[in-house]
Amino acid sequence: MSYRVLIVDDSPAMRTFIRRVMESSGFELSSCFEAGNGEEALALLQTEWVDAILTDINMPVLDGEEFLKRLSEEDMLSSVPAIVISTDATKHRMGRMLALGARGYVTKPFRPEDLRAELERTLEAPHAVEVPHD
Amino acid sequence: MTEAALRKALADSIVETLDAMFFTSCLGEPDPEGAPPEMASQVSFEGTRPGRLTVRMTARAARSIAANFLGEDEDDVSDRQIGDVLCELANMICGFVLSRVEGAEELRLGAPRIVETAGPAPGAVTHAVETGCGVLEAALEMEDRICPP
Repeated sequence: MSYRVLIVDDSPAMRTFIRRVMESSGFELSSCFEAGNGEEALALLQTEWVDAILTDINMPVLDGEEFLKRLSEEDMLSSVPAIVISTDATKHRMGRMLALGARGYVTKPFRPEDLRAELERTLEAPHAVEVPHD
Repeated sequence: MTEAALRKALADSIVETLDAMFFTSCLGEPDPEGAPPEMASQVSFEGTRPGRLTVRMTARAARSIAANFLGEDEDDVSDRQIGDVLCELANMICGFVLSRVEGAEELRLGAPRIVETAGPAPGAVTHAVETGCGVLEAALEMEDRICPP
């Protein structure tokens, strides 16, 4: 099975890296869409269905946190699993993003196999994950 | 956190970040006679200990690291792409260090940007490595509250 994935990140270099990692690690990718922020992503999702979303947090216009909130409010989009990719490895931030509906969380720096594993885990079991507590 | 612990966190962050996402190995301390840094990126942060992290490197190292990150030949990488990658590198190193320094406090990082290659400010915690294509140096400046070693 191959997947349609949306990458949301304001860094073109980071989007290129994530796409390359998915392709080179053997992840079955049928389509890969890109957006520079949450607003662009929501616009794209009006016309394109995706199996998974990989999103940054710190972005201009509409950041990752607001993006997840908006996703959860859209009936057609709330079931699309989103994985957060962020430099913020603090438990508080992770917990908050998972509470907002993220199904996975990958901290930068990560190794290619880490991203692939998180993608596959999320796509195989796209249900909510337990929110860690301090 | 002591300055020594902060310096170790900075060193670990450089090694891990370069290895995991830039496919670049750190080859030990830089040659003191080597070329000085020519490019720099910087990210500021807020919190109980606000400050900024600056990454400086030679143009050759920057091009090599950008090419590795993007999976392209060095000759095909544009200056804009190099700048974008250097900003992402500063962002990652900064996030890695602060996640270990700040405890449970969420990170509040500004947008990384390319800056002039001025040397580190007095009191900054620094760490430099040889990448095989030139030196890479990171300098972390935080508003005191660092216990002396």
